[in-house]
Amino acid sequence: MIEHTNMKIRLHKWIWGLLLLLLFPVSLYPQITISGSIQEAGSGEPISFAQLKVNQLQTGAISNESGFFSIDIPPGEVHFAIQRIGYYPLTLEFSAWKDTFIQVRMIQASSFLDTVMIEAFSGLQDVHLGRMVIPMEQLKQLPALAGEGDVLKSLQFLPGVQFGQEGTSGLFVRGGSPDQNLILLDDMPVYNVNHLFGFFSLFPPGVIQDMEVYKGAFPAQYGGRLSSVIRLQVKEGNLSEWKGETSLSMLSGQVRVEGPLIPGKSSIFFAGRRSLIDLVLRPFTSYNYRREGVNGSLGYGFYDIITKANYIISPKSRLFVSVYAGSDQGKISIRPSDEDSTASESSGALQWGNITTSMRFQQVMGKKWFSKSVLGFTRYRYNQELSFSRKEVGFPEDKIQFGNYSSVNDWILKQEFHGQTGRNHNLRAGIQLSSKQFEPDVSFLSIQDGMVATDTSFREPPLRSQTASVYTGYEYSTPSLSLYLGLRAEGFFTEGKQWWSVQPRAKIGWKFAPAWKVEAGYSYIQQYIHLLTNSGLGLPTDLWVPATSLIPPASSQQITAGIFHEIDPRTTISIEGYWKQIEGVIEYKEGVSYINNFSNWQQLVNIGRGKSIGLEFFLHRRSGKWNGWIGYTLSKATRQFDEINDGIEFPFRYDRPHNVSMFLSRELPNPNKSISATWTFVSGARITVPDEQYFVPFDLVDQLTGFADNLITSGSSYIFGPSAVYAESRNNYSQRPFHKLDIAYRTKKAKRKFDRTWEFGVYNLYGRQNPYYVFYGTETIFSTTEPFVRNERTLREYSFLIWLPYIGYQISF
Amino acid sequence: MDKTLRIIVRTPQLLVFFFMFSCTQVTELQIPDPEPELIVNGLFTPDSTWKINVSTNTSIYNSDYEPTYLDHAKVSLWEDDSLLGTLIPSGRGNYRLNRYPKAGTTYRLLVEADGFSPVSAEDRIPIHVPEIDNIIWDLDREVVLGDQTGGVYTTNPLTLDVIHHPDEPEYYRVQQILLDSCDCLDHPIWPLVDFLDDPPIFLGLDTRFPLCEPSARDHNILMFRDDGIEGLSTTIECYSSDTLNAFYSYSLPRSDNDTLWLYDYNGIGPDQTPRKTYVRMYLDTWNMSESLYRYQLSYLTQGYNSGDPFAVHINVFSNTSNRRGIFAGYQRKWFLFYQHG
Repeated sequence: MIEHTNMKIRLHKWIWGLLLLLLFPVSLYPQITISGSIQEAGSGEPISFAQLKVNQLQTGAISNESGFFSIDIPPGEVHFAIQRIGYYPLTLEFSAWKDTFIQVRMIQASSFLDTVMIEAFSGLQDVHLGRMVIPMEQLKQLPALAGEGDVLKSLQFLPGVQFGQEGTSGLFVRGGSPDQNLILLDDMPVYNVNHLFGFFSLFPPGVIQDMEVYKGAFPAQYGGRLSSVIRLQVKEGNLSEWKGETSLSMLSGQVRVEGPLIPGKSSIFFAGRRSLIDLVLRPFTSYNYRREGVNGSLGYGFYDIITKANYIISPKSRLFVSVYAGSDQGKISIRPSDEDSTASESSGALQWGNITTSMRFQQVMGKKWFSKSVLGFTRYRYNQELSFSRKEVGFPEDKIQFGNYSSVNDWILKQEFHGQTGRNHNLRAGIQLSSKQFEPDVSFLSIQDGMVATDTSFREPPLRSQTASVYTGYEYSTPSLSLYLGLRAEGFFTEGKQWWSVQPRAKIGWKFAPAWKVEAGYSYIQQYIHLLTNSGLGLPTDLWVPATSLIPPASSQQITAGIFHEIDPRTTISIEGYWKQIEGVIEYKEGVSYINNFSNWQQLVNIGRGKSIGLEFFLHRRSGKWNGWIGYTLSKATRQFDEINDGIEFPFRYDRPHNVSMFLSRELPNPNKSISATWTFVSGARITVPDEQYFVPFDLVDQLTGFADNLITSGSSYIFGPSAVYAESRNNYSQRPFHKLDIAYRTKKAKRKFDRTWEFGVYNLYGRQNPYYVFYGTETIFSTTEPFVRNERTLREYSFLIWLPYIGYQISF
Repeated sequence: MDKTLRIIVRTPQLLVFFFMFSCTQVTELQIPDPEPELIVNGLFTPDSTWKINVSTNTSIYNSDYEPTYLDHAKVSLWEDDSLLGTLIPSGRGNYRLNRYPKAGTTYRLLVEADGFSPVSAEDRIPIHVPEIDNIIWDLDREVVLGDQTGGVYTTNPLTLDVIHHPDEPEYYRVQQILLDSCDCLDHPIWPLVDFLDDPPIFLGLDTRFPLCEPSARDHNILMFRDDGIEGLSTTIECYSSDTLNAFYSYSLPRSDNDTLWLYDYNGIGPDQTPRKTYVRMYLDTWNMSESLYRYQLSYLTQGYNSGDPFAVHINVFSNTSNRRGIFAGYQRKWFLFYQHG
């Protein structure tokens, strides 16, 4: 017994010793710490993911998302080389005998395409398992629908990321659905990222400084969504001079201004965008209404405002305030003509939008630690309203208004520490608290009947939830070996119900040859909110709902592995494989009409599971006169619900086995001109199409309903005939493959006071009629011969966006 | 600069219109004919002899209204694992056996036909007939209801007690059928109604009873399972739709000889009492197997969703081996009641 106790004590000592060694490694040799921040010369924007290399040690560091880095080296002469795509490389030589904090300023390359690469750097440093960082300058080269550049839609050209409906910005990452993407704008989640019913996202490239995408092997600091993390950082504003841009595309006008509030100390960035559709359409719709004898108008528009201010409190501390507000609004109004004093007036409005705001304080603590504190709020709200009124001279007005709205409000507090615990050892730890309020669906009715007014609202009480998360991630990296171990613990509290989870994350990498490395990772994530959707379009009517006592959280496990090869410092090639299992996904029950249904949402959904497996190939040339990529994904994604499809597994709606995307950009001999093209080939999306029918005999219908011939009698009950339509399985039909070629040509010219850029392009150059949606219905055919009337079933595929030229204009000053 | 501005302003306008109006193409899709399958339908109850219907599936594009009946199949029936017999074809896909099914007994069916994969199915009739007690339709009490679409209507509550048997799961269906009614004092000159020309009216039913299936309520039928009842009796308050009031006024007794009708056209009965308002009503109640319950719900839902592009497709539930058709048992009971004004 004593021996056993001693063994336990010895074992505990070993475990504690190992932990201490991992977390606080002590070097046997004298070390100093060089820390600092890397910024863009002139503007002072922090430069994230810059590679820093200590030449004599074959070691290095990468700046974090705030441009901060820290590295332990022996005292003496220091030879640093620093590189980042889009900037001229930099070498630093200085003597350091004690801990030193430095500020590095990198000069932006005059053209993204002529970035010089240092051969000593490995392109492998920029590629990681499950993580993608595409330079914003390269994304700007992508041809865009209607000339409206779009950060999120550009991700659809990456392997493992698929689009939903053509032209829309929904992202389906590795067999997941759009609600499983955590989209962070300056650390705040954005719940609905769509404008114009999904055709555009909220983020034009000109406002985003950095974007980082995780598809797997998630670090512990991220949680709450199963399939991806898309971290977007808004530009922070030029600290030394005022600059601006204004641009006009076919659909919107944009303006961006940035400059110093206090030179060298504080700056501000402002961007505004407004659609032009309503301005163009309104005169025509009004004219049409007038021809019909009424006054009316029909309009649709959207806007975005993004502003961010920052203040440098000291060289080691900085404060940021970031605000986004955007909204889509559609309105229709029909009023009586001026002569008609008794006609009714009707109007309708549809509106949805987001507000996110965050305040971030970051500082360098001591010589090795970086701290980030964030307090923020994000809200998504959708509402629609219809109103009818009638007024006669001498009588009080009769008016009826009805509509519904839904919203989600989210308060978030984060505190994170990130730093070195020793040479090659990094640690990140933090805590996140979130308080959400959901109003999934609130309907209201207001009736003014003469002098009597009635106001009614039909609502479920708001659902409130709180999430608390703590996490830590330890990273060990040497030139040939890297190891990441992370742990995230979360508690979710709602309706008196609690869920706890411990989510391990791990990644290991081995550089087995100078230009080759392999990596493998595992991550487990829980998601506590769901999106009720039937379309995958990102329609504003999709409802965000929390996990409840009836609808548990969803979770996923993902195992991923990849091999990466550097062809040259600009060009890398990778093959990644993944296996993902999702539990707790929800889908509308069979037979639910998600428009014509007034039941509690919890009664309308089934809970099931999903699986996806895939192989992703990616050849990426990041800069140079020729640059671009080729991506190919071979994948399979399925869903299984006990109560859907007789419990049999069926293909996920966006299970597209083959997905090829190519992007090529070429700088022409005149460096102010460039052309680019994208080509996409994707297997057709899956839909459910009843492809056979069988007849239920009349007498059986009699038994079921009483009287078949006279059944169309009872209120809203309609039985159109005795046949039953049948689909062998959910999502049994694969649409035709989708493919298209887009091209763009840009020409830039320096004028006296500004630079102007014209962009011309064509979406779907060769006019491929890609399937947009399939409509299944019944059509009544009238004939002069017998049978005079017959019903025929129809299956029609609608194509949209065929050969669409566009033009864009931009002025930079 | 002016010229540039004009280009900037006008070109997007033209292109927006191009974008919106010139880029939709429609393609008719053709789907190959399905693999041939047998469709077996048969509902059985202790009150009637065996009848099974056999037909075949057909393409979704087939607009013929007439089923493709199959009269050369072999239809075998087992009762608790012993062969009961082979059903005899009687035309139009029907196969009959002059035996009565028994409640609580499990039946298995096997249908074989050349050119088709055999189809089997198994089900049983619930032991108990539906038991409903204390049916009260209170015409004196009015309830004002607002539905979630904003509609407001007045209705009379109908309460009934469902008695559940704990020895087996039960699946209920209740439908309210108005046979006839009279408000003769208000409309003494209206002619009598021929019942054959004016069949019964299926009344809309709604309820706040939480166990009722929402999808069936949309069809004005109450369907619910015994979850939450478990051996108890429970009271359901139902609400007829406001259309009842209209029917209540418009319908008249079918003949003077109707045993219910004791009053002449002048509103005077044999005992010289004035005519009274009355309603004659059936409550059609089912206790059925789980398979039939799911079949009915899905059948009603599919019909209701027909033409709705926003509805999630639902197959009609099937308990046959090829997932088409139904073979299921039930017990049914009619409750006739009157309400005099």
